[in-house]
Amino acid sequence: MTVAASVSAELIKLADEELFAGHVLTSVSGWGPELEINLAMSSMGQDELGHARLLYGLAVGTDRDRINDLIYARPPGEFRAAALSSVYSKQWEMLVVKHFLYESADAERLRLLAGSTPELAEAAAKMRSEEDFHLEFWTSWFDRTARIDHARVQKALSALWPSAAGLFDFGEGGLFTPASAREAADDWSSRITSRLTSLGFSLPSVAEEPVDDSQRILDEMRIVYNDAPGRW
Amino acid sequence: MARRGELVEQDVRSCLAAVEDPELPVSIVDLGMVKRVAVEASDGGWDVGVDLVPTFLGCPAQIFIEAAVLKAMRAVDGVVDVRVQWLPAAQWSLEHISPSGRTALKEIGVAVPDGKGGLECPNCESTRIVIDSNFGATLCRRLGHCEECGDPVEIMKSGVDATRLTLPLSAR
Repeated sequence: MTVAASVSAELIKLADEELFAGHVLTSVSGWGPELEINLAMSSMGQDELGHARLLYGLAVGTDRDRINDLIYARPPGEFRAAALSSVYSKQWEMLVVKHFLYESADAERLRLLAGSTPELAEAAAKMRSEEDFHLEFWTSWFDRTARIDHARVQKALSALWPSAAGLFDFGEGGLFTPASAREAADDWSSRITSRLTSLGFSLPSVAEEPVDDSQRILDEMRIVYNDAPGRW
Repeated sequence: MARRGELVEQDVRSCLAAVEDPELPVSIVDLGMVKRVAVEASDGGWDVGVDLVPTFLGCPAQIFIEAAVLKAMRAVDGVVDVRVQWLPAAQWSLEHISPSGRTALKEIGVAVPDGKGGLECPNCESTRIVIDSNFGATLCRRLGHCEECGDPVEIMKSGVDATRLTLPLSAR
């Protein structure tokens, strides 16, 4: 299958976010508060990396060199991932808040993707069947962590909320209609806001400077590629 | 003279069945990962095409399974060319595991939900299984234990596994 270049760019945005989220999860596995959580984080990280591979394949075809070029050789400025996906923290409440926000937004986006072409809908169904486990995990840990230490979760929410801003930025590329993307973004945002408000949290303005660790991820991921060109 | 197609196909199928998942000592055919096998005549022999379905998209065993399938198919007498492709978006579920696959999994202590909400302890056959985590040692497994005999139980999972919400998840 070939998709229009503009649709391809939007699939690459989704893939980049899954790549960043997956890289961080597999890297911080070991820092979770218990063994089962570390197993869960490394499993979810692998799932996300698999989703990135599937999305890159849908965007540019399954040629491995082409996908490697996208990941290892693309100028950092061409990555359009929402900053939230890149947040690189080993702190438990930061991880919990990041993924509570990211996975719930991702579920909305997969719902949008399910209404797209049959091929993208099939891919969305497979990803969603795996993401359901992630959403359940992070939602229940968000609730529990919020009960244990409200102040630390509030601090993490204040730090990370501005980073979530780009999750539904799809432009006019044609993967989703601008209206449907905006509607999904509004649904997500109002649901999250009312849930957080009911738990006694307050959200900062999205105009605050977002936390963005994408350069750190790219530096880390590309270290072998850059140090041993052609031999990695 | 080239071998007869039926003989080649027989060998292709038995050699495929001998390829195991590197993360589980069980045949990839029994695990339901082989979606299609095609044996077609070509110049001087036979071409083999194998379509594979990953259990989970991020399963790191895929690259090893692909290499093992290529090697096994190339070793079949009469085969000229082999093409292996993954169908990443195709759905895989526990229903794709064959009865012999279920038996093989049980023998190594991995329980497979029966699709009707039932799950048996591979050790004592009690149905009093509790899930401790939806994640486990590999992407396709999660952790639980048996309330009857106390053994830890690994449970096969798939994204479309309907039993996951009906089994008790131990309190966090």
